[in-house]
Amino acid sequence: MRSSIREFAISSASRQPERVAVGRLLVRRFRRNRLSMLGLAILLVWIVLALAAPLISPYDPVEVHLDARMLPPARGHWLGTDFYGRDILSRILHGARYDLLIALFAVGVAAGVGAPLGILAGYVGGRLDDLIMRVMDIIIAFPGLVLAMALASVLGPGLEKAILALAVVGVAGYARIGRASTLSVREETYVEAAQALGASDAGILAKHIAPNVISPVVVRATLGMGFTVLLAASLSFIGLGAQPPTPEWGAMINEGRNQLITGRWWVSTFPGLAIMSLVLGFNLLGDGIRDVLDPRGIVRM
Amino acid sequence: MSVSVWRFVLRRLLSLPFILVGITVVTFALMHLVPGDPVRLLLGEAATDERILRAMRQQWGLDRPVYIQYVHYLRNLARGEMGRSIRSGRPVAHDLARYLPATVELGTLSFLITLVLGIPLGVLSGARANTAADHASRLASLLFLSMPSFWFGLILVYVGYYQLGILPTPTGRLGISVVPPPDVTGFYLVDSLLAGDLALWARVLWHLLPPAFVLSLASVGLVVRLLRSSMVEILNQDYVRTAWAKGLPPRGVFYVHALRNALIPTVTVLGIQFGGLFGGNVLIETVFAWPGVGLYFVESIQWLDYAPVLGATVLIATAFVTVNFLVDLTYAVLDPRIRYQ
Repeated sequence: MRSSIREFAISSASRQPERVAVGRLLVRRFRRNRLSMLGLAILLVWIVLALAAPLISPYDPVEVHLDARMLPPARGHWLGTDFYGRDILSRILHGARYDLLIALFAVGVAAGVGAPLGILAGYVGGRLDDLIMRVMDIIIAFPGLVLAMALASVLGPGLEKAILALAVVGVAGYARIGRASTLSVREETYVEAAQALGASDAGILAKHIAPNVISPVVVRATLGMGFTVLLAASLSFIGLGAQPPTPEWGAMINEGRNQLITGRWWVSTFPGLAIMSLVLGFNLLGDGIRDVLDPRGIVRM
Repeated sequence: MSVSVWRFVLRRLLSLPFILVGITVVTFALMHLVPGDPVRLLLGEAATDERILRAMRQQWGLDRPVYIQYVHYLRNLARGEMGRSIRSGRPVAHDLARYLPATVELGTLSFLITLVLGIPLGVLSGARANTAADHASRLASLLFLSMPSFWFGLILVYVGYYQLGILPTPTGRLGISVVPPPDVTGFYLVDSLLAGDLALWARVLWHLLPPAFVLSLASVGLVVRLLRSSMVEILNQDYVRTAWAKGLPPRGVFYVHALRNALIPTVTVLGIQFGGLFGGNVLIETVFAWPGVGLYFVESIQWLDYAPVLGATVLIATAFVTVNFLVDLTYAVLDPRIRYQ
């Protein structure tokens, strides 16, 4: 009995070569999924555009040109200009930097705080589990957009406050996922075996629990990035978060709102399309990663 | 129902007050995050008379330790006392009660649209998996989920009203010059019927449709995706094969045998959507100038009028939690497996 446990522990510890093979399998499956490759391509395009924005933008994104106000899309201004004569294409390119950074930071903080809290709750259990998860229940009790708006409104305008509000809204989801994945492996034989062999809690968490938590968190984070972009745009649409003249996409839709009445559709339309394409990219990629990581899919292959 | 269902119901019921109290802790904390004196937040610009200020401090316990303040806050909330709106000059609870019917009416219609569009599309996608129809409905649902709904609302108004002139004016529940039905319930659809005015009823519905449609799109996308995947899974099961073998017509197999089980996971999401429609429509109400709780919430944020912001937050979260609780109960009745978890 004792030796079989040790054998099991050793064999699960020396699974390195097998894991590489599985990794390669996953990459192959991912590349075969055309929609998720499309999602990845959309994201890569936006990341490149965001990085290169200062180099490739035809105009300054915030400089006012009173002689070029509200021009329709045409040669010179491919997506037209807004009320202050600013080139919309240049503003969208620069806006990609803001929307990507907001999503990255908000999701990063939410997952970075939430997932470890959930793991802790699931692994330790008892009172601590109750305490952490009840707090998360309360956060989830609010519709995300409403909590983000209420929080951002009392914190005041500003990008970093919007990021904080979005992170708070997101944290509970990651805590639940972290806890659920931890619970699902905590009672596994190989974890018990590691405990019987005298492995430390930290070692077990790092070696056995964390790998099981990472993939659901990655899926959630990818889909969460898209959702966060939508929430961030919603905040700046009503004047929270990014402030004028920052070329954030939601704020740009808001600036073009009154232009719609006079028929100048381009001011709001293009930033909206930009948001939609970026969120679509995250959703396609997230779906793809989820399908690839779903163990039932491996059996089917 | 069996003992285990009741135990599940009881456990959820016991956690409900805890969560409701949690919500008030959050809004209480938010109130103290607002820069400046909470009295001014609660009383607005009228807060110049020193005696009124003192009376207010006493009512809200603002000269006492924080935990006593919280007890005062809870007691005031229980009495429907949420402070006064700077902008309207009225008590927040009064305003909320006035705007709530518009939001509930919009949310309910948009939920119906979610069901009417989402369920058939989801069944179609699942039953005809990997055909052109399936791809089209999946692509549409992905786009619905990926676009900012407030933006789509703006575009719809621009094209449908300003360009084509076929949609109603985006001026709220009725055109500006139209007299609303006499106020009985606050729900225009009900009130216009009570008044026996069918033409007005049709107008009310006509104004409701565009915002309700925009509001439902993201939920439709979600329902289609969920229903498709559970349909695909269930159509592969033995009992469905048996149904085919018995010679049942496709409609019977899809809608009676498969849909019943495929709907179970969807019910939860539908419930969350239903709860969310009352809170998540803040931006759609803004776009359509819909005089509901959401527009009140957003305009109060823009006016830095914090008492209504926090009051609306409590109301929306409470509605959200209550609806989700009811959905969990439905779920427990529908799916015996949940009771044993």
